[in-house]
Amino acid sequence: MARKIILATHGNFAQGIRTSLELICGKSTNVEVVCAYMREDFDLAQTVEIIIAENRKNELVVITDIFGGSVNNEFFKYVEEPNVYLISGLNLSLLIELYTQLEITDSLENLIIQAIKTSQETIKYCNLLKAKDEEEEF
Amino acid sequence: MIKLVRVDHRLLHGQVAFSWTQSLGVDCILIANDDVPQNDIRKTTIKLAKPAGVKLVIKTIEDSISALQSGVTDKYKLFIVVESVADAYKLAKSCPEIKHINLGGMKVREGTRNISKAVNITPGEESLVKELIAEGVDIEIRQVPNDKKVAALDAF
Repeated sequence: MARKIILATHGNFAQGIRTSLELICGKSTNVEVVCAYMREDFDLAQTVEIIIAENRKNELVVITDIFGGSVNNEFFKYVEEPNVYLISGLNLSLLIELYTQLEITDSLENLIIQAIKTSQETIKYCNLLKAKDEEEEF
Repeated sequence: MIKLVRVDHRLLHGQVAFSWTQSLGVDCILIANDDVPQNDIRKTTIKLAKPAGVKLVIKTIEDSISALQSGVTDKYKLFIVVESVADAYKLAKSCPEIKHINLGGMKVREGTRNISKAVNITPGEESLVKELIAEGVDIEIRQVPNDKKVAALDAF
């Protein structure tokens, strides 16, 4: 049983963020992308069905761009499957954390919960951040 | 004890901070740099890159040397980050305890040549590196811990 990350987004976002991931973490072999609606004849339901069918024996961490979007909703039909883990709100820090620990974690569920928590904390309005006055000393 | 001195022109930045801190098992990061203590924006971004649970100290090169020589740093597993070979050289010359230097990122500047993906070096820096190696300091090129370690001499 292998572990895979599926990035599924509206348009080329999935492809693009994989490029960013590889720039930071090196070439990936276990990250696949679905760039939805880029062709006239694109069939989302069929695309997702094929991915699920081809990966019966693998654990799939699916990350979609937006909660409630059609791509997420299509994968949502499969969340009862024991090998499918669905996350919405794709962003780079979330992806890096999941990717770097995917193979080493005992529990995908715990990894996902932790990665979501830390990546939520990285969304900041930076103008409001100032270096704290106190400096650390030895 | 000093686990590693890293030369990185960006100093401390997110993923690098995270990966090195984890792999070295350090509990304290020292940013030794003459500009950062007086540059609030640089200071802020460095503080933001600090991994949780690790102490972060920012000092000028001179103050860093004093601290390292005084013994106050002995109780820490220390990761030191400097932005240039010249700064690493100053530290290593004053602190014989420094046995390992990592060249992680050195940008293209006037007169540099490229010796590795993210490492560009001037002839002057090259001779400083060679001098330290001759004195027994291990100097390697590696961006992140998982990369293959390349001895600086092999890259010249």
